[in-house]
Amino acid sequence: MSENQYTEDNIRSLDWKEHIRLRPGMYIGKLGDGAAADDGIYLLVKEVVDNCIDEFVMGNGKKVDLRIKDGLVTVRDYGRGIPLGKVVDVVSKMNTGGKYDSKAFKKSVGLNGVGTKAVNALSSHFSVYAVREGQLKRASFSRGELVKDFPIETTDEPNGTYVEFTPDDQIFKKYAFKTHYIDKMLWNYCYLNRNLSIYFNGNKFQSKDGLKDLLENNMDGDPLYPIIHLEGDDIEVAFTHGKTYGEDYYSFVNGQHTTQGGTHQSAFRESVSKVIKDFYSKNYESSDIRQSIVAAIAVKVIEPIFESQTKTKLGSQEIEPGGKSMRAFINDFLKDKLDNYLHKNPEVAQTIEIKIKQSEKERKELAGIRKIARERSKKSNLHNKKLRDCRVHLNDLKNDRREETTLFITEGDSASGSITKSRDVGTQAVFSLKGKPLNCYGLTKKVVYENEEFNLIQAALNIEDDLEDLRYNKVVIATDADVDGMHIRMLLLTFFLQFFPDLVKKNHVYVLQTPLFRVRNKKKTLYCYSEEERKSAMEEIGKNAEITRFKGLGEISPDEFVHFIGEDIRLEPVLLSQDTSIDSILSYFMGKNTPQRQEFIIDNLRVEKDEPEDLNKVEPEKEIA
Amino acid sequence: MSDEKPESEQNEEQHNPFESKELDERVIPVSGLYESWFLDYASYVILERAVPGLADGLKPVQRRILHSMKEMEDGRYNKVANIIGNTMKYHPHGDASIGDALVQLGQKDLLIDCQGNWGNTLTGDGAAAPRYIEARLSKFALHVAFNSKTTNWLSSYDGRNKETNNLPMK
Repeated sequence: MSENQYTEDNIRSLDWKEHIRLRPGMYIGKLGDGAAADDGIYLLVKEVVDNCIDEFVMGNGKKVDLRIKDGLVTVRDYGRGIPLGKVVDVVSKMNTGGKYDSKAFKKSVGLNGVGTKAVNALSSHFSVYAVREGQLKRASFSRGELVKDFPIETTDEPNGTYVEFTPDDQIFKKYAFKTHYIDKMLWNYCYLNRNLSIYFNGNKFQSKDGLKDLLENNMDGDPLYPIIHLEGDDIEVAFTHGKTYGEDYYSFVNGQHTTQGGTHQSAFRESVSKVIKDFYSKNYESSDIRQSIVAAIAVKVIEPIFESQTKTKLGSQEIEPGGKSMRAFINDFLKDKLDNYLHKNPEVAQTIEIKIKQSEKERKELAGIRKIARERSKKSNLHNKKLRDCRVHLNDLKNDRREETTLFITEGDSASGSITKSRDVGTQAVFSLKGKPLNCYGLTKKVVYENEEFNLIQAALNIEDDLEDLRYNKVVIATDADVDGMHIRMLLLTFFLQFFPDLVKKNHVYVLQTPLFRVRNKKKTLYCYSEEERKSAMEEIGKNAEITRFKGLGEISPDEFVHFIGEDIRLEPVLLSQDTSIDSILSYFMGKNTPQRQEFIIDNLRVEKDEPEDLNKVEPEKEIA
Repeated sequence: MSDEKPESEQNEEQHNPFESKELDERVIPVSGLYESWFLDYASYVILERAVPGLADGLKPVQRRILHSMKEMEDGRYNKVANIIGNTMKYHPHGDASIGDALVQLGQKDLLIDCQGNWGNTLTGDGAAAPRYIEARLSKFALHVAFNSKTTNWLSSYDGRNKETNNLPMK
């Protein structure tokens, strides 16, 4: 076949910018449209800001100004500025840079002399100027092609470098920057580079205490003791214990956030428990020591090796090629610094020991009950008497309906009957509660095993250890729309937030909205979800309307229920807001009856609006009809 | 902090990063849900369930029992199960809670004249099932509690009946 000829004409040598534009993945990972944090457009910003940070690290320019508006990104640093004669080369000649020899730049993530050029080639508009001692050199590009090379002019601007670019919409289709991701990225820069101030669209980002600030800003609830913050050459560590279950780590290598951890994180986990164990010279279990820990660790590694293309998991075994092993490095550091700290701060040491003992006690208590509960749940897997299961589950990875799986948690058997009858047996399961569940605020995880109802919910969802094997994508709380239904929603949500916060964080929990009223005449039936909808429905149907108020789900008959859990299902997602911590909400609403709460109720008492006249007007008509 | 993005981001407006912080209005974070549910429940419990009224010292369920017994009053004993059934016209909750409230009123031996095993608060024995025991209003109650001229009337929860706002005692 003629198309398959392989001659000298087939061999092409690409221009640098052509290559970047043809294979952007090699330079910036995935493209994306800005909906995910690792999409290419954020990497472009990062590449440019990285250069400013390098200037800061070298001790030049404490301020970086970043602006993003309508896709145009501008970055200005106040460092030394690119040498004026090389401004064009630095941004448009491959493998050109000032960082190849410098020792300080060995410990950085990218130093291939590629970053800014990739940004240049992938931008529909790219412009740069550098200021040095009153002289300014400017150049502008489009998709890597030099558009205009300005002559050197004089200026009274301070020294530094300015870059502006617009990502090319031929490559990044319909992209949009999300401030949220950029905020996060900038905060990470600040935590790792203390006293650097970054202005993003006029908002100032600055951290004085580095990783300590990171923990303070990201912790849920108060720490048990002041955050321990230790620093050494090429390493910074901060940690404390919190109140939530599980361990929480933030790890960084050379300023890169390794979300999946890696050797440095596992070495830290190992060492921190070892050092603490040795300090008390008691044989505590490592898992007890690390229960509820919240920690951040940043290391600098020469020529780091990552396990993945996206640089989210560190694979380096050594701190520098041929140097100390990562484990020994972190262990030596902690052994010295942490041990000293604990000796100097006996109060903190005491708090930690109490916490460890508490975790130990809890674990031992659980161990006994767990066994019984396991046996019980084995039985209940077959005969979970409260559960009417469905055929497909979220963990059936091959089934393409697995995303639709839903568990309805209903209030009492009166409601579950209707749902069971009208559900889609393939994907909708029903779990019926009996009466109100226990208020589990302030209780330990033991209660999950002791309380039969909670244990059965846990078994039905299959979330004893983690969320991996969750059996339903959506967990829908389906209670009556009356006040007791509200109460049950609170109690159930408390259970989830207290023991399985991830279930809520990962957005699996919903509340089912059922209609409050049915307005109908002989021809037409309307379901109304609010007082306003009822009024408009009554206007629509006119005089002969018959109004039924659904107080409980049991009042809705199965053939009607199909409408409410079928395609038109109305689900209200339960979302966590970032500014309020779970713990403070729960302790306020579900904890002890504090004077503040009493005041709150008194100030906000909701008196039910009496609308007897309204009803009276309608009722007689109904009777006539 | 991790790469798991908060759910709320999904709803952000796509094109202008400056306006992108606005969330879908429908979505209320968990603190708002708690506040709203809590107020609904707490207000209801305070106003309609747990706290006796100032005018007559009765909780809503007790007032409704007395009213319904007065309605049924013909001088003879009525089966408690029937009284409960009649009271449900006014009290939109479970039969068990009405029954328990009636038994407690009866055990005070003041407003209600009891027949059968109504249990004993001192030994902790419970009353017999509602189908066995009977009750009627005591003479004292009939004399003191019902004064139709001074009673305010409301329509009941489903609008089919009238119930009393309170029972002004003599």
